[in-house]
Amino acid sequence: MAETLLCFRRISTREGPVKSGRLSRLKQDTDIIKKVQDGDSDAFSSLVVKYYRGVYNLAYRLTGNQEDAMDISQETFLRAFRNIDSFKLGHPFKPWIYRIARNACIDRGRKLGRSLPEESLEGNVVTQVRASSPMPGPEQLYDNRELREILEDAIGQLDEGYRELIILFHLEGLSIKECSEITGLKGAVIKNRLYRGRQALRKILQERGFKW
Amino acid sequence: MVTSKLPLDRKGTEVDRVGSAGCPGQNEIEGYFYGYLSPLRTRLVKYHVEKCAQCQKRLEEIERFDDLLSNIPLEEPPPELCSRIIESVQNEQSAKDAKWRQLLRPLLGEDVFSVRVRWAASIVLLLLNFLFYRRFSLSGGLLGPKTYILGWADLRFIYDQLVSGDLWANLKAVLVALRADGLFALEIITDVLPGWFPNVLILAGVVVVVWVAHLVVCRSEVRRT
Repeated sequence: MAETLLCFRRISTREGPVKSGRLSRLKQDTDIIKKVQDGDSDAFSSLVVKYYRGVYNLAYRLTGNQEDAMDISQETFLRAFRNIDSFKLGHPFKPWIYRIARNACIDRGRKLGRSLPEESLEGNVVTQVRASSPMPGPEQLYDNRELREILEDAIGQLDEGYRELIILFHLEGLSIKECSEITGLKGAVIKNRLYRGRQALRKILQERGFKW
Repeated sequence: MVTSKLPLDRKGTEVDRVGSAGCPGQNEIEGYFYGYLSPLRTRLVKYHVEKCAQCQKRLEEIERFDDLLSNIPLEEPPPELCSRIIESVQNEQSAKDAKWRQLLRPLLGEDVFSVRVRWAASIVLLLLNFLFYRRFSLSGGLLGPKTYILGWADLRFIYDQLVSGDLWANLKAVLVALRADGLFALEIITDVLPGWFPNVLILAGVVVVVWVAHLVVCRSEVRRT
């Protein structure tokens, strides 16, 4: 019962009312963006410092390539800087910059003639490690780099529509509303895809003998 | 590509009923866990879960799976990435500034070329001012009511005088008279030159003085920089 109650507490934090911390972050970002819009381009650096990790991680997870992720991160902030005047003050900055990052990933994929990271499992170091080692529980692997590689690999196998939502919702911790702002999809579609994506991810992990 | 293929109901929502009859489906219980069910459905599922041991287990399983996903550590970006992004943004800003500076340099620049452009622009403005400046004072003023200081007809007159050589002859006559009779010769001016001409000279003098002062300031600024 204690675990169930813990679940209830978590439920209220995910889609619940906006917290004061989030509000103050929103105000901080709004102040900075207003400065940039008024011509203080140096203020933009603080936005870069604040969000480059998230943007990089999103790009890395969507492309599966470090070099591409770096280029996309740079391109994302350049696009944001060029279009900062179109940003509506009072709105959260994170979904806006993530949407730009997502579009930059799509554009880059089109340019390079690929739509998603094609990392074959055959010959992958992760697969070899998994095959040769006994199956430890996920708790034992939490601090293990191997766990991340396995999960990222499994997420990489998902259909593109599911993958990006799994990344945004589960890995980046965004809400359904924020996911909707980034992808332009309706909330109901996102919920449905998230559910399907999780099912597919479970299937992949179970096929690999993974238990949680 | 791995996709999930589950049966759909009439509304297109996936139906995945597991557990005993009356238990919420997997989609619903996951929606409950992640907090995106409607308030009514949330209450119903919560009520059910509190009493159903099987659903509690399902919920715990969902939580463990969520922990697994949400505990994936972030990939630490290369250390140079942040400075690289900031540098590229600053370059972008510099390029934007340089573009505007390049466009406005002839008018706002501080080099010799810019001063010359301003010089030429001032002359053009001066001419336009003479041509099209309309009198703004009350009627009966210096130039008469609603007249131009210098109109196309006046320009035509000056042109004719220049071409025929009369202007030079008249000016010479004025100079000779000034030498011979001093201020008395001023009367001659009114006879040989149009009535507006002294006014134009006064106005032009004022404009030229202001313009020369501006030029001197500009040049001294250029020297200082």
